[in-house]
Amino acid sequence: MANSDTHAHPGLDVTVERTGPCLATVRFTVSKEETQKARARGLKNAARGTRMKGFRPGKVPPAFVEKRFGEEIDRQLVEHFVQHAFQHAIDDEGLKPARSPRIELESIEAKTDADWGHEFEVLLRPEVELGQVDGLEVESMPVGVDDEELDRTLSGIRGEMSTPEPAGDEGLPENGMAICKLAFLLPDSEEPILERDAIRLSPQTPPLGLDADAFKEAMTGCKDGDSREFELEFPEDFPVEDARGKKGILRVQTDTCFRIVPPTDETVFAEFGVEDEDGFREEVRRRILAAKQNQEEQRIEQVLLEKLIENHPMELPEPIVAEQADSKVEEIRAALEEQGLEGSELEARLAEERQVAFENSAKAMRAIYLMEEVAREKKIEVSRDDFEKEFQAIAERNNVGADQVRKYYQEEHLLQQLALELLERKVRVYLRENAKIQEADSGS
Amino acid sequence: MSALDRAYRIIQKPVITEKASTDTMNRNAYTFRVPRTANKAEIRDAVQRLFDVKVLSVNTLHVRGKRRVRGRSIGVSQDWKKAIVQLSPESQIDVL
Repeated sequence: MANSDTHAHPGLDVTVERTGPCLATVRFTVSKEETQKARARGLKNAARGTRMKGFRPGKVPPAFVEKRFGEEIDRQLVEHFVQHAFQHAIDDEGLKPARSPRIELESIEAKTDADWGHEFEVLLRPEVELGQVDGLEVESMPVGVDDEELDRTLSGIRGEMSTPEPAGDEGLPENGMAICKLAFLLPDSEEPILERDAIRLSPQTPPLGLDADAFKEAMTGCKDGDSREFELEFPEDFPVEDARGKKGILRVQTDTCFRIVPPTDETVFAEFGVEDEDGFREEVRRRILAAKQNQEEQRIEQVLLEKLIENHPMELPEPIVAEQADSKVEEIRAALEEQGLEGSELEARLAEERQVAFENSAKAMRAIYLMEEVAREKKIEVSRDDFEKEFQAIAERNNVGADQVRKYYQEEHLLQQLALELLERKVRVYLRENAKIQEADSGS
Repeated sequence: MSALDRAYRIIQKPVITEKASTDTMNRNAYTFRVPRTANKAEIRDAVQRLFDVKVLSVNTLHVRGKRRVRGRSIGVSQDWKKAIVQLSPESQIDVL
């Protein structure tokens, strides 16, 4: 069957009625002559390509072709006219569909002995009339790094770059770490009710429910194979149900004790590409500042977007919002069921989540429609270059080649999604760069 | 064996080819494969009984088996009998 935009159907009559702010009904009728013509064309095309034993190619009689392909051709015919009607509604009536209509084609019959028709509903994009986009006012928060924060970060970096080494005869230091075996026992019993292997413990971080000082004191100095016992009360979420709320004993047996060796200054300086402590401080300060500035920019963009949404109330195609919310709720249901929630408790929780999911979906859709409108109005486009830069960035983050990333996005049909994300990013930047940003008072 | 069973044994399958379908369109004649022992009277009776139609004439012919080569072995497909049955203009058979 020929493509819908390459030919016209004089016998196809299409009317469009707007039945709601985001809803239209498309009605179409097809004359029997038009259907007969289209059907004959379909049969002829099918006959041309049909190969059947006993017949030369293309010489299968139409009656045989109809017997064999008639149903298929009728189905294609319905689809063809529905597509034409939909395209007509878009081109001639200016409909802006939010998505393709969902139509049960099986229920429609293309009649050749009488005029026939059908009607279907189309969800429409909301009509957005852009108000103020440039010069939106927003307050920026001061961004800075004080010495205390810098010292904390430097110490954190050194901690993260530290390496564990066997503690040996000196035993487990206070800031060390040990691989332990845990056994939970009831009083007057030597048979553990629960055991856990290969647990990482530090004297500074006691298991839940144990006294921190007592744990630190007991564990510090432990050697490989040493054992310590602690009294505890089994918590309400303890895996062994019978033991919950009862008093018991936790036996900690160290397998291997480690001391934590901080990196040398040379290692740290080399990692950050600096030469001395001052350079290290400056580099880390610069990185923290850059991260904070980035965070502040994103906050400003979010505030601007929220303002834009607030200033542009719009009706949304409710079924799409509901579908998105439902799909989110189903994800939450799966996660909650995995956590063991069930019955009325699960349903009550989901009812709460459904409301939140609906509001979030509605907000996200408003944001998308608005940003697309801003992009159209301000001529913001995603170029091939933008794609390439993004592929490069993703490749660097994942330590692979840009070609690999491009191929993955093409194969998984993710390019359209990526284009939307890039457009959103560009619009957010546009909003920020064209906003009136006032510095907040340092006191606020 | 009932008369209907006999009829089913006689009309083995329709022959659907370009030539046979042209014959159907031009003079309402249908072609069938029949047992080599079946005679015209039996074929007429079988067609009339099975399809509830009026037969005007029956022509039969023997089709010689074709030479078949499969790898190194050479053989001949079976001979069979073709019956061309012309129906009265108001009769019709749905062969597909």
